[in-house]
Formats: sequence, C-alpha cells, structure tokens
Amino acid sequence: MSSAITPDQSFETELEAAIRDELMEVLDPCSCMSEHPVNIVDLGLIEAIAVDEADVEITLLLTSQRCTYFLDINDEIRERVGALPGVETVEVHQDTSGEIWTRERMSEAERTARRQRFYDQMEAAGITPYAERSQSD
Amino acid sequence: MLDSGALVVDSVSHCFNHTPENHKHPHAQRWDDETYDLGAKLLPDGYVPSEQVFYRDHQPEELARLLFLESQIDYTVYHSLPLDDYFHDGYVSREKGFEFLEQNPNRSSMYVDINPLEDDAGDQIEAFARRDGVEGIKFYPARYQNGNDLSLQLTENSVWPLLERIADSEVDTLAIHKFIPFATAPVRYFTPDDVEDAANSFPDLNFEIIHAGFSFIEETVLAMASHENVYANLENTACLVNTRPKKFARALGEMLYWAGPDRIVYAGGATALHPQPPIEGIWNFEMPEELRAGEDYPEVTKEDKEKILGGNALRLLGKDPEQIKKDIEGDEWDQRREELAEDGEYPAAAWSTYDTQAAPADD
Repeated sequence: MSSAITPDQSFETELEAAIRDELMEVLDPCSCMSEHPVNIVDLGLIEAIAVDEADVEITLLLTSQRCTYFLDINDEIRERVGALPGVETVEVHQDTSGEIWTRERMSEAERTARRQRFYDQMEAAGITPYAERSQSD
Repeated sequence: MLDSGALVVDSVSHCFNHTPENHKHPHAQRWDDETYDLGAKLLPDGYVPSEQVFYRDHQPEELARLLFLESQIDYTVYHSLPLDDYFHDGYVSREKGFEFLEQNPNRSSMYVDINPLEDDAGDQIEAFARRDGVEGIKFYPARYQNGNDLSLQLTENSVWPLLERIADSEVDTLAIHKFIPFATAPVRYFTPDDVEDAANSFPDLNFEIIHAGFSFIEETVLAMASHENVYANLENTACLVNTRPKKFARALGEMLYWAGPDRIVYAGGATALHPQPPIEGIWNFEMPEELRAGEDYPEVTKEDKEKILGGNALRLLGKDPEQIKKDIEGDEWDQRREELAEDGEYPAAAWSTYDTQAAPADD
C-alpha cells in the first residue's frame, strides 16, 4: 500500500518542502462544508511531489475517483505552487492506478482530532455505546 | 438458508436494465459502466459477471434463479428505482418488480420508488402502499433536472410533506440511497444528516439507510445510536467483507459498538452484484483481534450474524420466520435447490443460471 506525503515528512531539497508547505494551505473543498476544514496534506491526498529542476508534478489520490472538486483543487495548487520562487511549470495528476484512499492516509493529528470530535458529539447527544449498555445489563 | 437453519433475507434486489435503448441522458452510459466497475472491485474472483451477462435488461425470472439457486437467499426485498431522469424505465422498473412479486409471493416484498417532484407523489405513495407485497417506499437524495442537480434531502420542502403521507399510509418504512455519490450530484447530499431530522420527527416510521458503512460511518452510527428507527442497510457494503475486510470490520465494529446488532440488515444488490459471496463472508467473519483490543469492537456472535443475514430484516418487514419457512417449504425453489444439492451443485455456479451464455469475467 502506498503512503501519503505527511505534514512532517523530510525532503532532500528545500523546494520540495516549500511545495509541501504550500499544499498545506490548500483546503479540501468538501471539508469546507463542515465546521472543520482540513488541508489536503493532512487529509492524505498527496501521493507524490516530483521536481525536475523548475518543473513540478504533483500527484493526488482523491477520496473518490469521481471527486467533482478535482478541478478546483487543481487550480489552487497550480496557483500557489506556481508562485514559488524557482518554479516554472506545475502539473497536477490524479492517481488512477486503482489505489484507494483510506483513513489511514490522514495525518495522525487529524485522525486524533476527528475522533475526539466524534466522541464529543456522542457525549453531547447523551449516547452510551450499546456495547457498554449490554455489558452492564 | 444458513447452516444453522436460520433464514437468509436479502434486503435489496433489483432487475436492472443496462441496455443502450434505456439511456435517456448522456450520463446513463457512465452509470452503467460505473455500476459494472463497482462490481468488479467489490466481488471476489469468479463472481464478476461477464459484460454479456451484465449489459442487458435483467428479467424477473433471471433474478429469481440468481437469488434462489445461486445463493442461500430465501427471501428478498425488490427495490424499484426512480432514476427516470437518466433512464427511460427508472433503471429498475416497478413493472418488473410487481411481476417478480407475483411470481414469488412467498419469497418477496417490494419497496416502490417515488419521485417526490411529481405532483401526485403523495397519492402514488398511498396507492402503492395499499398493494399486496409492498412494504416500503424508496427515495433517492438527488435528481437531475434541466441541467441541475436538485437536492431531494428529506428536509427539503418538496420532500418533507411526503414523509407525512408515508406515515399515514399502509407502509412504515422509507429506504433512501446514501453514501455512494453518483453522477454530478454534490457529496453533501449523501450524508445521513437529513435522515436524523426525519427520524426524530417521525418516530413511527423506520428509515433504512442504503449503503450504510460505505462512507460517513461516524455520522451513520450517530444517527443509529440516537434513533431506534434508523436501520443500516449493507447493500454493497456487505461485499467489502471479502474484498476490503479491514474497512468492513471497522464499519461493522462501529455499528455494533455504538448501536448494537439489531438494526443492521444484509443486502446482496443483485443484479448488479452477485449476492452469495457476502453471505459466506459475513457468516465466516471474525472481528480482527487488533480492532477488538484497540477499538473495543465486540466479537460478532453467531446470533449477531443470523440477525444481520435475515432476522432483523424479517422483524422490520413484520414477518414471522417460522411462517415464512412453512410457506416456502417444498415450493419450486426449494425443490430445485434439493435437486442441485443432491448433485453437490448448490449453490449453483455464479451467473450459471442466466439465459445468455453466462460466464464470470476473466479476472
């Protein structure tokens, strides 16, 4: 199974790290409809960053092959990464190898925060897990 | 029937029409192809239909053989579909559903599709709900009209009054497609948030969320845990037990942990999918130790599996399992199963009972 580029991954060049930092400014459009927007690096959408001198290629593995927001994400990446010093061209590809996005691709911090929000929501709703209720019967 | 003698109930079957003549919109071909691809991804080797079997107008007689000879399913709920914005017959026609009911009255019920935007939708609900064998209504969360994807969330003004009509009708269950986005409809239409509102306001109606566990699992278990009238229908999700077992284990584990085993129902998803692999997969399923220890997911007992594979669905339908067993004992399908079993050929090989030169796709 491939793994996503992570927020704290180390790179051989400063440019690659700068690109990753720039990608962390791009928010996932779907998450923006919730109260907790998440950037595309934390979400685990970045499959690869390839730099050939001034030419940059970024490969995304989307949560759905049919993501209708690919064009929006593509536009924002090209604009942000294209503005970095030393970058002349930016291409954004969608990984269609059959690899599937899974929650394990999310950053540890994002997964933990997300799970905590879920527990908070359950608690706010006054829900005791069935498994705990049935044990105490 | 399971080895334990418990009935297997399939909570969604269809007779799809995947022929080009049925296409009404340019996206229809995409629907067909994506439905085929989904099956290719979700089914184990040997169970993916050949294109010759798949791309056709599936008939009630073929569905019956597929369910009752090629799988352990004893009873099924046929869902017609309201996709007449893309397909001339809605993709899964009501007519074929009623034909199927007539041919298999002791082995089937039906949920009838309704397009909430039709002027007489409420009257249609009332009339269909009175017909023999109809036990529920089926909605989709979006509709494509005049170049736009219209939201048909249950909370929309165009839809909400119809919930009252269902509550006043002869049926008490609404099934709604969720979790698998289609065509160009926005992803937000596929979350269960609107179902929660509806379940809260209509406590006497049951809400069966189709494809539960495929995505938005936390939102789903929140809805299930907070509302006793929300059911998880595992159409397509059930197939993950074989082809993406970790995802399946997590989805089932969350449901069992938060909401318990009584409102989860298996569905085979025929004719788009072969229904037998997930039955065997669920019956043999064991919660991985790492998820039991790490997430506190419970062990899945034999009783849980019997509920998921049939018991829960019969309770939802208001059917007595012992009566169903009496009604189907010695019927045509029971006899044909016996004959196959005598030759060691039951369940029959995948797609082997189809009229066409059937064979699984080369994997």
